[in-house]
Amino acid sequence: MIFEKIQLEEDEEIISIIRRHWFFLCIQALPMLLIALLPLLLGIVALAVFNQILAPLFGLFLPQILFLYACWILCIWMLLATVWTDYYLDIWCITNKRIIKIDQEGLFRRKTGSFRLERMQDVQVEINGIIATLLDYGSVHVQTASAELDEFKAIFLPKPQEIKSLILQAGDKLLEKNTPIDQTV
Amino acid sequence: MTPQFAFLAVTGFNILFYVMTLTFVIFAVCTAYHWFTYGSSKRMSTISLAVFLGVSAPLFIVMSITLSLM
Repeated sequence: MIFEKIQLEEDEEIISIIRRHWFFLCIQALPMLLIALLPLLLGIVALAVFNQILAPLFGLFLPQILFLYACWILCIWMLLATVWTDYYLDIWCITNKRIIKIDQEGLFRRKTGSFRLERMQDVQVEINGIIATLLDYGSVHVQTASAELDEFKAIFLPKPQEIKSLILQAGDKLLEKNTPIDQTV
Repeated sequence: MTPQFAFLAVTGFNILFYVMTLTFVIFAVCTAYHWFTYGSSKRMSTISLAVFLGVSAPLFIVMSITLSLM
């Protein structure tokens, strides 16, 4: 599984694994479900309007129509599986040392990035709109001091405020741990 | 419908069925590989695969039955 591939450092612990909010999945899946039902709805409407012409034809070609509709549903089902794959494999993994972001784009493209919590400069949360407020999702931006990855951003994360405090707590703990004792006195 | 056209239509549907089956098998193998290699939970990946195959199976059954009725 994925954590064998990430290869966590010694004494590195996973604090949380975060996926996008379920609403994101619904937004992507809903149009496909409508497209899946479209031929059925069109068929019903066509039968209602041109009943006398189409009814005998439907009766005659019923196996062919059902076969094509099953093919259509199967194609949509495979697209839905791609959407699920994208949702399931996109994760933010917060450990006590770093944040790892894995982005699955389609089936054969994935991006993995990570930054150490010491490099974190600021965490911002953005919740836009009524639905986002009601369902409690939003985007989280983590600004880092790294030249290459100066901003880590994820949208549609559930409970963004909790994620923010989780990241800040992890960062604070790491700072405390790394601060030499003679400087704390 | 002439017998020639009927024969061509049935052949076409048969080819479509084999193309769909091949596409599905390749897609299912790729998807299952991704779920089990890059997924975070083995249980979740197993459930995903079971649901995916469980919904696909009736569709293939419908396709096979309708194909035999043509």
